[in-house]
Amino acid sequence: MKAPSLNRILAACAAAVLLALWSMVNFYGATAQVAGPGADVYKIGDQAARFEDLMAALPLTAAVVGYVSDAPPGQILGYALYGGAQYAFAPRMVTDRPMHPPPEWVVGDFSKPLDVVAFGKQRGLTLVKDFGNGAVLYRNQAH
Amino acid sequence: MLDAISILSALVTGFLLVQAFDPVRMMEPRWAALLFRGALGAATGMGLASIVFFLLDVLGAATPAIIFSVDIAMLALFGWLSFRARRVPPPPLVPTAAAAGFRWSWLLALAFGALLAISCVRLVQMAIALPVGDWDAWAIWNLRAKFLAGPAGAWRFALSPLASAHPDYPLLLSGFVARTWRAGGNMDPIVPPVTSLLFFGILLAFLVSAVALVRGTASGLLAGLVTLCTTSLLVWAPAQYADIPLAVYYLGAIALLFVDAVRAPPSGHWPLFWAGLCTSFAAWTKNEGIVFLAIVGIVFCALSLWRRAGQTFSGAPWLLAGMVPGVLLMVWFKFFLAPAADPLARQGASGLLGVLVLNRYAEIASGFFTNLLNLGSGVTHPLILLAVLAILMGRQVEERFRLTSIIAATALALVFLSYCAVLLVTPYGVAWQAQRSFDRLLLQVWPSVLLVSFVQLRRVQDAAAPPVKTSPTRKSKVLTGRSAAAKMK
Repeated sequence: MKAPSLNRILAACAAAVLLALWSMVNFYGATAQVAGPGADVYKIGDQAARFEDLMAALPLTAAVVGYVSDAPPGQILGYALYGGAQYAFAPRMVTDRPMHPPPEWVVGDFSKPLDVVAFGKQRGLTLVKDFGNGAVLYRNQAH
Repeated sequence: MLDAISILSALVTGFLLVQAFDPVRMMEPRWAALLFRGALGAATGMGLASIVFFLLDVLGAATPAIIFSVDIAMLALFGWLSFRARRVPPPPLVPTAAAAGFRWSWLLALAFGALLAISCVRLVQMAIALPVGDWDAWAIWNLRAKFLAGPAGAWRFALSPLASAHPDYPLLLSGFVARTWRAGGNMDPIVPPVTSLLFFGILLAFLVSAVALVRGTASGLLAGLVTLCTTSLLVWAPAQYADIPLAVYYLGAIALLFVDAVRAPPSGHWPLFWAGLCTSFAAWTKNEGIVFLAIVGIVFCALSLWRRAGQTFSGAPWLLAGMVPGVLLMVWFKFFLAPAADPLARQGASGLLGVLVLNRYAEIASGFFTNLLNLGSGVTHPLILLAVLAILMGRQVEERFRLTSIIAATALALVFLSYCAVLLVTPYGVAWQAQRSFDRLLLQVWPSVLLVSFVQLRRVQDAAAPPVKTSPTRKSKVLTGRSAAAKMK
């Protein structure tokens, strides 16, 4: 195949530069929201502050902590609350899975106001403290 | 401060190691060789740091003092090896891409630099706006990093099905972040976004420098521009997922296959060793990387044997030697440490029935095309730009790259087909899975696809520049460094 003329090469380079520039404009437009204050849609970054007092109340020996929530399992809200709590508490492990023996300390993570004492009782948990903003510490009655 | 030092020491360690066994020594253009060395060094340093940290963590010895002591020891060792290697007389200059000049390259460099700076501003804005990263970042990668960086024994939580849906995922990214946190003595939230953007920078550096080394400066810059047109890549860059690091190691491996096609014995097949090492790091990054390692090894050996390319096949031991660390690490990790928690593996033979459901093929095809379209936006889609370049520049594959192109294209196609096969038998809904992951799967191979594409395109050069057919080391006549450059002029 014959080598392209200088004009063709220059046209190719110009096309690349112009399309890349245009693409950058599109990129800025497409990412306006995710580069702004509303980027953290699941509020994961806020969870550390929300659970700060609760984490301070946990004994240092509590490496594994249970988890209960009012959020319906299998839905985005439930996953986000659970994942947010896990991330905030790590390197402590927060788990909603059944364990034998069950963890002594259990985090309550609530998306709306409810009777946290009754909620705990139904699951064999005793309220230790309600830290507000949906953050609750329970103790497992089995211990 | 200590975390920044630990990142820097990892990068410098990798760079010195690359300098010691330099795969691009005496290749031109010099700036591209230096950039390539930097990218490979950074990727190697981060991978090595992650592996060493994980080993120390499992042994209960990952204290900041030991981490820095190991760093200093490696810096000293690799520094000495690098110094020694530099004292050895250089091999002949490899008259590759530098032979073909293009007088407007500076203008392309200016445009690329400006667009890169503009994109960096937005990437930093995105990283600041979402320091915890996107969903998988806080649900998987950074969560596991926190476990690894936790008190002694907490590393086991990173491999516990009680804490994560994917306790069997490899740990390169999490390990590197955890190492930096542990070395710094705190879990500074800036570390994951910085790591994420570092990997993106390495990716760009790898692509631009690799294309420049094999096809000339202007082609390298054009490859960079096409990459910047890949909107989806830019969107995922600050997300702190392991897909960009994986793309880095894929690209590194493929690029080094091409570098080996330029270089040849007597300088040895060091590029192939590094390619193997990149596949090792890919395996330590994500499960897909394990498949990549296996496929690259098999395809390289099979095709070079089939094409009776003795010269190429003689490099197979080097490639396989580079793969050994990855294989050993993954055998240990997968069989002795991590639980068999992958739903795909646990579903047993019943999952294979998915291949009989025709609807699944349609859903995968639909997911593929939708996400392929979403790689870019509208007329600025990178495929359109590639097509424009192909039409205007034409195709011209140098003989020495023919077999490597076939090997690379076959390996990438098989890797991507393996992704499709996984989707075919996934226990989750195919449409959901394809929607959720296909764009990232595409991004894993996209930079490597770009590299292979640019090798096929005619090099950008002023008219009447002589084509380079083979490296001088493959001919009887061996040109020495300066004389080769002089002859090219």
